This record gives sequence, structure tokens and C-alpha cells, in this order.
Amino acid sequence: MADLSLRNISKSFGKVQAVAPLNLEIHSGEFFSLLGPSGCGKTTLLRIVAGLEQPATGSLFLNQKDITALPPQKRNIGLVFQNYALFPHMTVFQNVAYGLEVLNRTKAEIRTKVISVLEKVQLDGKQSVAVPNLSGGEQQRVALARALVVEPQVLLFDEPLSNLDYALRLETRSVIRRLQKETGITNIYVTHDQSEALAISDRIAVMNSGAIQQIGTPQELYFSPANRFVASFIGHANFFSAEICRSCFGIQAIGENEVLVVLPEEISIERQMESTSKVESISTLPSDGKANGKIIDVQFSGAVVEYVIDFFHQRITATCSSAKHSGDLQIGSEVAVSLSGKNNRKVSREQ
Amino acid sequence: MSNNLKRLTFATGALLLAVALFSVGYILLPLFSLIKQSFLPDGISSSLFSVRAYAEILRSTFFEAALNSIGISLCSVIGSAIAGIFFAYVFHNFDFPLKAIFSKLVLVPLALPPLVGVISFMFLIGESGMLTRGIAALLGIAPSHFALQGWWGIVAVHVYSFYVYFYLFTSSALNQLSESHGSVIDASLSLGASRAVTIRRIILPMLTPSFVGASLITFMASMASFSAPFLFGGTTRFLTLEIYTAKLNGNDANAAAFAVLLSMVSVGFLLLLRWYQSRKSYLRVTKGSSRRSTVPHSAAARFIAVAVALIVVGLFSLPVIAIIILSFVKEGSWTYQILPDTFTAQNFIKLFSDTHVFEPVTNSVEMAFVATAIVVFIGVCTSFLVVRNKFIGKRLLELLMNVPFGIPGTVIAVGLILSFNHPSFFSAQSILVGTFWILPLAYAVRNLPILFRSTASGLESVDPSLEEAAMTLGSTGWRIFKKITLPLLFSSIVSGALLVFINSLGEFVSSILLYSYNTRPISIEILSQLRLYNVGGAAAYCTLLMVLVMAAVGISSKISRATLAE
Repeated sequence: MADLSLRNISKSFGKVQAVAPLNLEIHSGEFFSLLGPSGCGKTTLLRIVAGLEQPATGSLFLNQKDITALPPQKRNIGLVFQNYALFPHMTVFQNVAYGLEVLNRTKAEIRTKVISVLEKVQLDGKQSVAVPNLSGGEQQRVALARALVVEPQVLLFDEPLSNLDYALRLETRSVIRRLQKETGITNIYVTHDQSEALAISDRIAVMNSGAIQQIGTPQELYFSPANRFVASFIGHANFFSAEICRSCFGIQAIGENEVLVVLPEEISIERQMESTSKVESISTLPSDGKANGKIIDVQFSGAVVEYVIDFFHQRITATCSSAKHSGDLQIGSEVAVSLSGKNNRKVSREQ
Repeated sequence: MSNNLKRLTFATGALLLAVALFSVGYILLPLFSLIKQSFLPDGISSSLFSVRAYAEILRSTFFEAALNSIGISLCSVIGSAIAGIFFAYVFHNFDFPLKAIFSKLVLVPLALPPLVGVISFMFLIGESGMLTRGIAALLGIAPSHFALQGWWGIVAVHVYSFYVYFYLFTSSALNQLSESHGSVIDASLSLGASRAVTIRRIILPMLTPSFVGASLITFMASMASFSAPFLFGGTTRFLTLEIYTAKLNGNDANAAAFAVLLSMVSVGFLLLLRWYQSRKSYLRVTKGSSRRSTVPHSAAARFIAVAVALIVVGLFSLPVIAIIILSFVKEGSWTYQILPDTFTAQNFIKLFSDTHVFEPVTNSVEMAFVATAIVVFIGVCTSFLVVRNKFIGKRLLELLMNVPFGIPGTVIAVGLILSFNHPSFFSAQSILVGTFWILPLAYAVRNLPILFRSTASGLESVDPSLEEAAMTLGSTGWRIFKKITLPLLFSSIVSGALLVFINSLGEFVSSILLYSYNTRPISIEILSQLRLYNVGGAAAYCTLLMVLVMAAVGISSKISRATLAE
């Protein structure tokens, strides 16, 4: 059990600032994710926690103890690499046993611990297999077992599932989640996949351009994004200007420097049968809470259908459950667009 | 990640110091001594700067020797290209019985020490060679009318020794071409292009980079070649021989001036090669099917190509057979006959029972061991420093490690002599010339680039995150190196080291300038046996050398196969 505290941590590579000075508190036993697009500094931050990079400024505290100057060997923080970094010249057993051998444990103890951790990741019976002969998902679980067996205080994951196919990704992430709940280890998990982060985390820090945009539970980030970036990255939200809100939807409470955040599932559309005269400008619209758009793409993805709509020269997306999907909504259909839900989330116009 | 390179620690700093001292003391300084010597009047130490040596050699023999060296090299490139590209094409496109054995035979010249190759050619196609005498008897004309000697003899030896470069470059390019670009050939054919057009417009342009690379290496090797002109050249002048002659005549300044000019040509070609290889090549390894895609040929063309290739490859194994036959010839028994007729095992019995006769073998093995040890230590340390760390002067160190590859062995030997014929800091204030140590030192310097390159490229393919994973598991520097990095590099270090060992075992070019009677290596003893007309004795040494080389090659391939299987 360990809590981790990052105070004023920053890092630059040459002139590029990879991580702007930031503070972060990660609680004991928490599953914490760093989420952001590639190049946002999340991996650098993780490597700083592991001790593989030295921060330019700031300090790192593990259980109130300053570990900034400690080398990675002395931190007792485990790391699961994106490419697994399994030792290719060793068997599964030797890979997992490596960390215990470094700690000079007895042969018998090493054997018991390795077998038990391999059972936990469902690899019992694979001890003597050479690493290159394992499938991607198996290699991933060996990497997990190797990091877990030395009982680190904090376990770090660097995009561990990005090399797996979709089904394996779902399976492996539930293994990771289950082991974290069983062991109570503090996890820090780096990913660029927002659905993965939402599904697996207790709390998430969304990062962009080396800075933290928002920290919160998955629900907070999804339903109360702090800014336009978070809303767009987490929920693929649509943004409506004050003018559109007033003219099309009759919503007055949006300032000129704000936009309304509307999630795709909060937009309802219905077929407009009579071809109304083309509306040239927003100001001429009747403010009855409905406005017309034209469907330019329809994507069916199983549970939901996504419509891309040209709405006053802005591309917006609306999703609805496949069960409610009607065949008459096709590319080229004129649709009436309206809002459902509370629609009270406003963020700054700025990106 | 952009930032995996580590800063130096105390331990790596100490390694860097050792490596830097070696490359300055034994690579840079000898070259500097050479340049300095070439500007000294008459080789007598004096502070006067003089271009006398240059003026003298330019006025006398330089242009003649340079023209011969360049001419020989151009002919060698053309001959090697024809043979190498033809074999590569036939072996890539056609299947025939015993292909596995023939594809090994093609590589035989690679395993033959240069001196052994030259000697076997002398006894095969020289004026009194077996093949020459046989043809002369068959056709009833005097051997002197057609025997390969002088200029053309040298070209023949060069083509035999160097066509392998073209063969290897072309076949690896052809393999890549059909693995990753197979559809290109299919596409051309499906667009209605004929076979000839496909070869001319598609295949040849894509292979050009490999041809250029092989041509430059062959040209450099021919310019630096010493054994062939030395034994076959007669009175014709060549740059490497001029250095040797001037040094033997005690004219150090002229020898140095020749060496400087030859090095400038060689290093120029080395830089050209590196520049060319750094440019974009057409061939990229891409994902996709590894189906072999080839150009279709008619049955007749197929038959003729395979037949010609097999006959020539068969002829290529003749030098080895000739040496083995000669090693059983009784001393003084082979005079005018086409083939020797009196055979004896005496040569080998003497070799292994007489300690005096065996001494050169002991010398060579000892010196090859010392050279290999030096090369492995310096080469592994340097590649580790260069690939994994950042420090000032890294590019310079990398360049110094590659320089000996471009410098002829004769030049390296002269450079070492000029640096260590007087007490120096780098020889612990003693004179190295005339001692045991100068030979393995020369072998080490000559072979350093081989091991450095193979280890550095091996290390580059070891993912740095493996070392980081070991760090997060609590492992520290030396343990990570021992348990993770070294085992992963093992096969490339071993194969590099064995190559160094093989090269050192049969080394002749620099030995002939550096040996003394007590330190004479096998190659020098072979030469003295030849001068005593003891053909059998010389061939027995050659055979032993070939056996040792084959053993080393066998060990190397066994180790790399074992690592692959793991």
C-alpha cells in the first residue's frame, strides 16, 4: 500500500517541454490512469515515476518519503512496458524469477512465488516455454507476472494493451483490473484509448501538450468536462456557439465566449418530410428548439448507429441505439435536430 | 523515446579512457607518424619540413605504380562483377540437384586466407602450374604462350577472392527484392513487359545500390592487395609493393609518402562508400508474403545457365584440392610432371613432430589469440559506449574505429613501425619493433572494424527497454550487462571474434614487414618454404591453416544456430 505524490514535476528534451510543471496526488490502492493523445507527455511522466528519467524540476514522494534522487533499482516501483521487454534469451520461468534472483531469495521461495504468480495470470504450465514462442497476449501476461512477483509498492503500465487485438485487449484489461483489486497495489496506467481508461480506472488525469487538463473519476470527466479538449477527447462531444444555442434551440444562458457541450447521444434527430425552404442564415430561424440539418454519413457499429450531420456548416455527430434506428434516415436525408437531456455544460470557446 | 542515451558514470568513464587511449595510440598516432615521416628529409630526424620524398616518388615510379594499381583494380571489379552477379542470379532463380552443396562451394574463397589463395593459383595456373602443364601437353604448345602471370594472373586471383562480395551483395538484394517487392516483378510482367524489359527496367535499377557497394569494396580490396602482386607481379610496379620495397631499402620517407598517397585514395573510397550507403536505397523490408517471385526462363536458357555456373563453381574448388594434393608431395619430387607422382605423409609428420617446424603455428595461434582478446575488449567496450551513452567526441571515436577498414595492411604496418621504433608513451617507453607484441597489435588494429561493426549493430538491435526492465526489477549496471546485454550479444561477439581470429591466423600483409625470426607466423614460413622449393612443406602449412579456418567457421555457425534455436 503506497501513495504517491508528484510536486512541481517538469521535464524538457532540448527545447521541447515534454511535461509542464504539475502536481499530482495518487492515493494508496488506487487505479489511476494518465490519458491523452500521443506526444502529450504521459509516458515521460510515467518514466519519471519509474526513475528512468530525471525530472527537470520538482520532487517525487512515495509514502511521504522523497524518492526523486533514488535510482530505479531502489524505488520498488514495477513497470510493464508497451513492447513487454521480456528477456528473449530466457524462458517464462527465468523471466519471472529474474527480479527475485536479484533480491537473493532462496531457490525454493523463488519457485513457489513464480508458480503462484503464473497461476494468477493463467500461465501455469508454461514455465519452461521460450518467450518468443508465446502469443502476444501470453507475453503480456508474463510481463505482468514479472512485474508483480517482486511485490512492488506501485505498478506502472505503459500502454500495455496497444499491441493486442480487440478481444484480447478486453480480456487482458479485466485480468489487470482483477489483479489490482486482489493485491491492492497502487496502479498508474498510461493509455491513449479513452474507452479503456474509462472502463478500468478509479481516477483519470487527462493530459495534453505536457499539461494536465483535468483530474477526476470517469463519470466526472465524461459528464462534467473541464474544458473543450477534455469534452472532445473523452466524449467526442459537439460544441454549439451562443448564436446557434439561441437561434436553434432557444437556449439563452450561453455567453459569447462559451460553447455548449452536447454529447452525441444527447442529440435527437427526426426525418423532415416536407422540404422546407432552404434556411440561409441562423438569424431568420424560428426559435422553436428545432433546426434542420442534412445527414452526410451513417455508421452502424452494432449497439449504436452514428450519424454525421451537416448542421449550419458544422459537422456534428449524433448517436442513437440501434434498436431505435429507422431505415429512412440515410445519407442525404433532411433531419430536424433537437437536444435531449439537461444541456447545462458550458466550457470556454478556446480550444 | 528520444532520450535513452545515458550520461557517463565513473565506470563507463574509465572504459572510455581506455578505449580513447587505444585508438589514439595505435590508430591515430601511427597515421600521424606516417605523415610526419613523409615530410622528413631522408628519414633522418630533422626539424626541416621537406616535400623531397613526394617530389622523388612523383618523379620516379609513383604514376606507373598508381596506374597499375588502378588498372588492376578496375579489371578486378569488372571480373568480380560478372562472376558474382551471374552466380547470384543463377542460384536465386534456378533449382538444381545438390544446390545446397554448390551454394556452400561458392563461398569457399571467403574462408581461404589471401596468401593461400595466391599460392594455390600459382601451382594451378602459374607458368609451371598443374592446369597449365596439362593444357600445354594436351594442345602441344609451350605454357608461356597462355599461362596466366603478371597482370592477368593478379586479376584472376583477385576475381577469385573478391567475386564473393558481388555474390553476397547481389543475392541478399535479390532475396529482399523477391520477398518484399515480389509484386513489382509480377506487376511488370502483367503489364505486358517482356522478360528482358523487366530485367532492364525493373530489376537492374533496383539492384544498382548493391552493385555500387560491392564495386567500391572490391576496388578498395584490390588497391590494398599485397599478396597477389607480391607473388604474381614479377617486375610490375604496384603501390603496395612500392611501399614495401622502399621500406626494405631503408627509405622510410619514400615508404611513408607512398603510404600517405595510397591511404588518401583508400580513405576517399571508404568515405564514398559510407556516403553511398547512407543514401536512400530502394529496397526496404516491408511486411507481406515471402513468396518467391522470379522471372520465367526457357528450358534451354535454364540448362545452359546452370551448367555454366556449376562448371565454374567446380573449378573454384580446384585451388583447395590443389593445395591438399601438394601437401602430400615429397620434397623435391615434383619437377617437370603435369601432376606430382610421389606422395608421402612426411610433410604432416614433420609439421607435428618437429617443434622447430611447428613453431610458426604456435606463434600464429598465440598472436591470433592476443589480437582477438584485444579486439574483443576494445571493440565490445567501444560499441557499448557509442551505442548506449552520450559523450563529447563520440562521432570521432566511431570514425577512428572504422578507419583501419579503409587503410591497406601495408600502410598500417609501416605506421606502427614508425611509431614504435623508438620508446613511446604507448609502448611503456620500450621499443616494440622486433618484439612479439607488434604483430598482434597490427592484427588487432586491422581487424578492429570487423568486430566493432558486428557488435555495435548487434547492440543496436537489443531494445533498451530490456535494460530498463531489469533496472525496475532492482538490477544494477554490471549485473544487467552480464545477465541481459552480454547474453543477447553473445553470438555476434563470438562470430566477430572468430573472424578476427581466422584473419589473424593467416595474416601476411603486415606480418612481412613486422616479423622477426623468432616470431615468424605461418604465412611467413610458407613463403620461406616456397623459396626453398619445398612445395610440400608450404602446402602442408596451407592445409593446416585451411583446417583451422574451417574449424573456426564451423564453431561460429554452430553457435549462431544454437542461439537461433533458443
